[in-house]
Amino acid sequence: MSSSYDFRAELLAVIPNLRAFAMSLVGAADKADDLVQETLVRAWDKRSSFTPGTNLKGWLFTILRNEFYSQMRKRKREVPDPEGAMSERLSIHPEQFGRMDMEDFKKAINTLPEDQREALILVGASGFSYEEAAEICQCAVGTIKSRVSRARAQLARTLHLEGDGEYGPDAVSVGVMNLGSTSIA
Amino acid sequence: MTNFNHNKKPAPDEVARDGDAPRLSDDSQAFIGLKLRELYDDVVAEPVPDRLLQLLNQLGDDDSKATAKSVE
Repeated sequence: MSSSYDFRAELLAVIPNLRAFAMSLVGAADKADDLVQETLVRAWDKRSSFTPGTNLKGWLFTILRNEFYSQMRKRKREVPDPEGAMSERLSIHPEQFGRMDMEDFKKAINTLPEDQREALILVGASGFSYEEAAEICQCAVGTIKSRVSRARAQLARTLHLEGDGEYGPDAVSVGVMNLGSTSIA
Repeated sequence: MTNFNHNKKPAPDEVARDGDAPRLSDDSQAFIGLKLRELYDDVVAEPVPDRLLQLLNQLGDDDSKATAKSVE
């Protein structure tokens, strides 16, 4: 059935993004892939409820997030590993980042409250609008905006970005800020 | 759940209106955004693991739910 194959191809296209989001939620790569696997199975089972032409990525992120929090409720003792979130298997080439160690940034990200980190990643890295992120997180748009805003503010404090910080944007701005990226996180 | 707005980006004034956190400089916001995407895109760039590809193949080869369930 051709519609099945099309849906499968569309699922495949979103997997890299699902994995990145799952990594930000659970930290460990194998657990992230478990989560993606469960998401794919659920998405396939309920594929008839997806309207072709609408936002499949958002639909899948919603399923993944629901699955994650459902699992969290089931096994409360198994909490996410903030230290490991997105950090374990990311190898970063130091020369890409000027003087600021990417490890510092990862640590700062991982100290954010879960809801703020999630909102920041959806909007700042996954490419969702505030409205889409609000749908995924099943909360008000204003709540997402507030979480993103607070997340940014805390990161700036942690990393001493504002004022006389030792890292500051100046450390890398000359090299990397002029790449034409105008979006903000 | 499927009624996502396509192509809708927050207007600049919406971003600036966040009232409950100090307004960061554009440089700081851009810096955070850049780092965040580097971190995220590093995972996105990884090849899809074989086990997920195998799962997809099984889903596509069989429309019955039994197969999909048995994989898990």
